[in-house]
Amino acid sequence: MKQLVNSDTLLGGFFGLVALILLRSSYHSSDVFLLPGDAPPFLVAQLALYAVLALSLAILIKGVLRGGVAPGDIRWRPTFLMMALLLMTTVLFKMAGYLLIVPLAVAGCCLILGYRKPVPLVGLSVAVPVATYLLLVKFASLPLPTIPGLEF
Amino acid sequence: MKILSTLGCAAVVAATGATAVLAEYPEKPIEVIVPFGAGSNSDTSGRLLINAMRKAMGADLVPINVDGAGGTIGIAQMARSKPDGYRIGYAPIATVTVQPNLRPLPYDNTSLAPVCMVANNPTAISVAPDSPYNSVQDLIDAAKSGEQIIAVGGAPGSMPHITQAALANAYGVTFTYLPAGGGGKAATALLGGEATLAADAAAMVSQYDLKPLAIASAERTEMLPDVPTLTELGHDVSLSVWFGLFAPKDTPEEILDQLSSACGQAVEDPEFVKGMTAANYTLQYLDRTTFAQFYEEEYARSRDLLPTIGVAVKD
Amino acid sequence: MDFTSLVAAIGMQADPTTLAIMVLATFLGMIVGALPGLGTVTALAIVLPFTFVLSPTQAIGMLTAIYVSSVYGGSVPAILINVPGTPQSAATALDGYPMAQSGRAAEALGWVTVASAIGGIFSMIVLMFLAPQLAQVAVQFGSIETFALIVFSLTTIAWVSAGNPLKGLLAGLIGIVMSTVGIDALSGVERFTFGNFELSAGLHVVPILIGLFALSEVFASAAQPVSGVTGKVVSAGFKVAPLQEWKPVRKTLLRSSVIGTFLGILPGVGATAASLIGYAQARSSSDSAQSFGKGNPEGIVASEAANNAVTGGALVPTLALGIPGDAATAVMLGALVVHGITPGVNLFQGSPDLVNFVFVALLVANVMMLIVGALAAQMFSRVLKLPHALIMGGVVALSLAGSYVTRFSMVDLWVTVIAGILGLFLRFANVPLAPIVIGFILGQPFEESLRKGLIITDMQPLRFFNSPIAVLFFAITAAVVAWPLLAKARAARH
Repeated sequence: MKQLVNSDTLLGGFFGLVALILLRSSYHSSDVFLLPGDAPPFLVAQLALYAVLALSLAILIKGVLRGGVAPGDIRWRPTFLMMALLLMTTVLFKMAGYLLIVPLAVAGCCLILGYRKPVPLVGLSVAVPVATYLLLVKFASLPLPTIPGLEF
Repeated sequence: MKILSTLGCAAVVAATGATAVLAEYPEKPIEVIVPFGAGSNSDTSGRLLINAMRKAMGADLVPINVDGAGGTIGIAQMARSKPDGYRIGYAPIATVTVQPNLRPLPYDNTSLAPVCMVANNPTAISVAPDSPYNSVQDLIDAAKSGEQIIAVGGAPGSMPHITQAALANAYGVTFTYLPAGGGGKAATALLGGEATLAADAAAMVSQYDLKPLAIASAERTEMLPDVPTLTELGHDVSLSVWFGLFAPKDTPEEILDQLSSACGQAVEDPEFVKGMTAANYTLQYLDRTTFAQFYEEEYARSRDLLPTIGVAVKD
Repeated sequence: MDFTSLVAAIGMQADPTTLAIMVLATFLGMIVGALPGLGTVTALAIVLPFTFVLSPTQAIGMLTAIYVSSVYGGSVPAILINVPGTPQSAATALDGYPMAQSGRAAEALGWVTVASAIGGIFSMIVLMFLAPQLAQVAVQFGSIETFALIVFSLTTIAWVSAGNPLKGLLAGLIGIVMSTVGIDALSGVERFTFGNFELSAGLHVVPILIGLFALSEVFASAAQPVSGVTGKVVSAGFKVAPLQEWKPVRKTLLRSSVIGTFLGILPGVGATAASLIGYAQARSSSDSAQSFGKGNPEGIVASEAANNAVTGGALVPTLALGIPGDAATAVMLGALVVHGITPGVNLFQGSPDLVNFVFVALLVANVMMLIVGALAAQMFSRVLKLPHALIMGGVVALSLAGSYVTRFSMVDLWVTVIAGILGLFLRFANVPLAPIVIGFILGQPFEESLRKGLIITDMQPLRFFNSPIAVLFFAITAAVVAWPLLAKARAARH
């Protein structure tokens, strides 16, 4: 018996579940202002979700019967660290400001990926966000979140 | 004597203090939220106004496009911002009158402080240049005899939708409404024969070479002097698309006054007038107090109008 | 074709200030296009304020230069770091990145630059000679015809699924479901927003693209160390393949240019879909379909010729009717209107000089893109020499900025990060990512045209077959779907 929990079963299971949740939420709709002749607003979404459900089940069954795909050796710790880093960055993005949080994120990313040389590390972590800031905020007037207390 | 001079001094100090507050604003760029995409109708006129106001205020105003949901996303963002005068919004009528009455939004008429109105574009009932219909009555007769008359315009809740519904309602018929989009998309539908009529900006007539049947206002417009108004034809349907500046409520009066007077100067600016006329806008300026009153009237009017044309009002 | 006004237009173009502005604009457009997350529309919106103070011809020159070069610019990071700089270059990454990984980045850049220029110039010639006539064709494409076209476009999902039809289809459907999130424009109903107001604007393709391609690449580097290209001999610079190698791809080049021009003229499909369809068509009619996705230049050429051909195509309805062909031409149209230039029938008859100037500017813009691209490519491919970790760090900074400035909404940033995480797991499960993008982009026009068609036909879908154009596309779709099945059946019989 091949390994039951493999990439295909996880894939099928995950999307099957999501499809079920979304389908449920699509069925209770309040008074809908529909133009005459128009199809119900959830029609296409529901058709697509049913198709997703069917395909997920098919992939799930295939995974159970034939085993999944082997993605090779995965280093889970750096992966989860990276995800945590980016999630934290997003949480703090507006609060801390672009020029504060993103250099930290860049440095963190390079460190997680195993880069250790301090000079290029700091150089890049400062240079790229600052250059992006200058292009977007100063040149194009597209505002990025500012560091609280400072004007930039 | 001493009391008077002390009082006088105090008054001067107080006045200087107040002017000091005024003199400080604006000390950094003012963000003007344009709740539609770059290149759209609102965006073009908004940017022209911003350019002119920049000159009038001697300060920097920056357009920020926040597109989505008929303009409501952008205006909601503006309404929720700090009322310090550094974030205002530029909106057309439907976003601030029809939309809040149509569905629950994070803002309504009490969340906004009107600053000024700059344009008021008349709406024209137009058809394709090769259309067999030559008058509104032709359309109505066709509708009454069972033909499917398709009116095209923006999403439900936009002015073209409301206007065509009001028109149909006034004559006692119904049109099938096709929400293809405003401006160019509506014109495409007309020219391709997919739709019969559009109740959209009168400027579109010359821009896309359409055939105007009537103007939805009380008086004829200079743009199309030979086209009768719906009032002349016996039905009082008067709906136009106006554009104005808004600030979050609770913005200090001095700041609102400053913005409003800058706006007043901006509409006189020859570059602004040239640009708006090139874009076929009908300029109409209303200052803060007049606009505030006008806005309240428009808000109530849309609230009353919607049920009569079969659209439920959210509360 | 009025040759005197054409000569006058060339004279206007020869003005040194205009040329200088266009060179700068080409650079700027290329850079903005190359930054993941800032697309063509952002690039145009950035220079929009500047155009107000320029003369009409300078403004037109600037806008066309940015338009053309930004589409090309997006292909650079697609090739170098598997991250499309603009959505239009998503298909370029499919074969461009493998080519760079095998040490042939310079060749890839060469293929891309020349193919983009050829696609752009082809569409410009079509625009020049056939604009008014083609505009009439565009107008004939109503909701029902558009629906049929999109159904056909959706079948291309099969061709970018790299041998995993079930998973590719799943990916495409996921994209379609994602496109339904938000307020439904036709009814005002909130779909899958779970009470979040910002979500009612729906999801945007750029944050999804950045997340799925850029951030998942970052996560993938963490999960499985990438050796980078350091081990192999890196051909830095810019290398155009010799004429011999261009011969086999010339059919693809022509076909993709036609596809791009055609889809640019028609409303509702756009450059991203055009490049993916161009790629898919090249693959489906290639003898060596297997080699696609492994660094086949034909894939790169197909994608880039198509997406640059859209530029001329989209200008057809914009100039001839005053109706923008896509979001980018909508911005250009806005700028033109402010200058008192109202495109449309009147423009062609009243100001032939100006119209011809647009053609000349487009030609010059494409040539400039070729030259500037060749020079800049030397710089770009040196980026590959940086340690991979540093490249990924840069990607993180650009991704966060690019995603946020799309609509200044935190929702987009969350979408990017979540799409990145999702993208990583999809890669592990061997699910192709490109179909998600196709499904997402085509989902909204698919649903919209379907429902508009139903409104017009009063809920009678059979009446869709009343339209000859729609029937044509349905037939082509049926043929495309049936053909491989029939071929398999025939092979099985032998």
